[in-house]
Amino acid sequence: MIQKSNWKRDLSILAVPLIFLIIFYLLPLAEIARVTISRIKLNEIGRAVNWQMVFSAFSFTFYQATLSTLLTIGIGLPAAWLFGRFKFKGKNALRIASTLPFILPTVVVAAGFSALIGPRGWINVLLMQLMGLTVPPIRIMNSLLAILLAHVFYNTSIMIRVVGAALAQFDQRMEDAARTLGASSWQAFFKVTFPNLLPSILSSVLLVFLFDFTSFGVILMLGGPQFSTLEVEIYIQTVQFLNLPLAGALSLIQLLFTMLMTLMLMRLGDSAFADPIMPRMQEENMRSPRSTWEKTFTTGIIAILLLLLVSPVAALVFKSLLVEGSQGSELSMRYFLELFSNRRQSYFYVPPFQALLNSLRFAFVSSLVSLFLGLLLSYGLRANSRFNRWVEWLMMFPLGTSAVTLGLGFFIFFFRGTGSARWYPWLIPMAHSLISLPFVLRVVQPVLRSIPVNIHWAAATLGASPLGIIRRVDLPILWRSFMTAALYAFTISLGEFGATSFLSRPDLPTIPVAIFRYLGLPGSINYGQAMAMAVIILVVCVISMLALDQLQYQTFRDKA
Amino acid sequence: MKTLVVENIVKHYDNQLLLDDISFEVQQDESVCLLGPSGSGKSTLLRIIAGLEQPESGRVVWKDEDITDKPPHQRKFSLMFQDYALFPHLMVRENIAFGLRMRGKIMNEINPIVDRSLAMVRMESFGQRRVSALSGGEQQRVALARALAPQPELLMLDEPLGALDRALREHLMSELRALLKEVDIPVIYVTHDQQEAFNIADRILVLHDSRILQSGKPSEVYTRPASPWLAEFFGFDNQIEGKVSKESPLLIDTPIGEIHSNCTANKFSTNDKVVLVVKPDALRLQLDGESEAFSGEVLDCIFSGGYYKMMVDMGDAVKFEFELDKEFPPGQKINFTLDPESVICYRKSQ
Repeated sequence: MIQKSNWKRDLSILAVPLIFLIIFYLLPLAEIARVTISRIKLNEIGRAVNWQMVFSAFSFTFYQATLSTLLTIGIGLPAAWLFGRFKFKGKNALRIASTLPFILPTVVVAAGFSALIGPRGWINVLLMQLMGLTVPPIRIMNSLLAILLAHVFYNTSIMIRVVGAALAQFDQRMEDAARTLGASSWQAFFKVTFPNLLPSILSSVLLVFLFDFTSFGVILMLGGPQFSTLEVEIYIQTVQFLNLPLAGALSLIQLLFTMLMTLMLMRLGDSAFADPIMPRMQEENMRSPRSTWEKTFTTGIIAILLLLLVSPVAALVFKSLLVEGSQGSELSMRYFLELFSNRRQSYFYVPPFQALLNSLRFAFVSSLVSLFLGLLLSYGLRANSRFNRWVEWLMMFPLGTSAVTLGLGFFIFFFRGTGSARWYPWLIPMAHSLISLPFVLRVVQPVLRSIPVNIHWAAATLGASPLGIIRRVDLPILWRSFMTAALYAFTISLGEFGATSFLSRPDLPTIPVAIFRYLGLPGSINYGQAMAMAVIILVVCVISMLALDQLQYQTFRDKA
Repeated sequence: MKTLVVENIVKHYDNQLLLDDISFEVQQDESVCLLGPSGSGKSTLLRIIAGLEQPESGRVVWKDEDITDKPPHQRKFSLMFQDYALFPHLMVRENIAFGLRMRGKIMNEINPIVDRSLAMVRMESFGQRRVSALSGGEQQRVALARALAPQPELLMLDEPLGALDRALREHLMSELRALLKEVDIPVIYVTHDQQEAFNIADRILVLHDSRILQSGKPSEVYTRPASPWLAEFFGFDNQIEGKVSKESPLLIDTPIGEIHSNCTANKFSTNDKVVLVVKPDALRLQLDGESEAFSGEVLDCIFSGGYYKMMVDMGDAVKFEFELDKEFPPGQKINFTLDPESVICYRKSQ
């Protein structure tokens, strides 16, 4: 039975999250629009905005997103098929490994690709030694290829997750029925299986495109100065030139497109957002590859996935541990130890270790905030009233807003001269909370909704007060999804770069900001420190991914 | 002693009248069964008594105290839910102990009660199991033990056997009956299944169209349903309209001929429009052609375990179903009379 609506009660629960959304989302966005439009009125926009540049940024954004998406489909669909249809040795390990990119911060991915294919990367080092060269022979850093590779690395896991899960859930008896009705195996696939998978394919493609379209860190760090997407241009115009009207115009265009895509995604059904990490798949539909063709297919895809998923990560780890000395390289923890010292030529006023502490602190605060808001929202939105559906929609909007746009909004709305310097850094966890809130909501709300109202009634008739019901029934049932949501919020905050890059100060850097800076500095010590910091985040991400998988596994086991 | 008094309860659901001025009483030691088709508001009535929902008007009185506004956790009534509503995060033992803990009992007091409750439902070895690992019948027992453990002052059961298959239901029904006789508290039992109601209840209240249509002992309610609708609800589908042609003994003129009835519940006068309910045991075979006998053609004869269900064409497109201990081939003509004891007469409603 559906919870009766009681709008007074709901509104009082929803008041805090709504005020949060207004202050930290709607008002900053409105301020972007106001600043941009007021300049248009003053007729300054013609001077401030170079429309040629806007157009070229937009068309490049679109172009690279399309290319990246096509490449991702090329690898992701076969990989989804592999996971949705076949059993093979090491499947579970590969499944967990393929979820890693989903939570890995862009700076870490950028560092990984730099360690693999950059001028100091393994491939170049190896080739230089083999061929006796003094300059790196492979120059795909700062090229479109590097961007595309990183995007494929990132988004293949989305296709595996969404399409693979749909495939595993697909009732294969439908295919069998088609075969007994006279369809060939190809006909059965195209007339029965494919149409049933189409919604999940479409929504995963759209999601991949959205992520590619709003990609920021990857393009900034792997693309180099000659490639500028809308996101990168917003950042450069704000941080380097303080051309706020232009940045505002760009982010309004960006917002329009991302909102459009988010709305399309929501219309398609939210399978893509529904279970944020890779679900366990039922084994019923799985079998070992039999024919030669199937064996070649599975081996090939496994090899590609291993190469794609493992090599940048492995390259990163080895780079951080192999210290370049005068007599060649040796295994050492020196780069890690360097993180504690504050070198004079350093960009920051503080040692990089301090950045790690800052990041942990921000991540802790932002997970607390987003969990608190998520819990209030989940309780407030239990009834299925029109007002609640409206609030639910509103809360999903930050998903369709790029982190950079959010950062710009915060920058324009909150920056009030030097006096604001003291409280300004606390905007960082607020921005992170806003970014992780939709995820938290998606994790907690369905579980709370799935608790039958009968169970609340049973507790009440057995003598539990309303608060007692929350404490003794809801929270114990919710704790697993709570932990899941907390881990999400924590890792999202730890790796967040787009919004943070607008809000961090040199004396209060976060670790992704520090990695970005150190990657751009000359000298092997700086480079090594960037690698070491990226490895620390990587380790945190791996731990939280394993924990997430374990939580998911327990839930799966309980349901079975 | 009147223990529970329900007075003039009115409740709407989605702008539909669900409970219209419902009043009844339950005595100490009495098992009352609310019987009615699904959607008749039985469960809502239970939730109002439990305090989980508020009536729009009317009162719930417990031992002379108006408890209409008392929150559910202060009422000391137990409610066993249709799908059991066991707490998925707790073991069997902890589920049963929940009500005791809520009432502030300490572990030393709780443990022996839980053991006794487990023994009562013969689940002693199940205490440390997860509730999700139990079968339907086992869950039902745990739910019952959980409802009884806190020693409630009133026990309510909402379709407690509804989710079980037939064989298990019949087995648990007799168990439940014995158990409910054992506990010394009033019981309100909600079901849509007459068999269950007849087995369990001291008194049956039939709920339909948001009102209580009839109340009485199971045998009374079954033998003398108060209206044609109730007759049909109890499975008496042979109904035909007619007009009273003679008052005493009562004779009714119907499209298929004149039918006698011994119905004495109402006074009828000549030309009253009435509805006749012919029970399936009314048929008396007539071998020598008596003048008053009906004749009809057997349409179908189905073995139904212990008796045959026979569909008979009564003429004028009327088909009646009878229960017989003999088999007749379809197509055979038979002559018979109808036992006036098994014909109930109702005044036709306008």
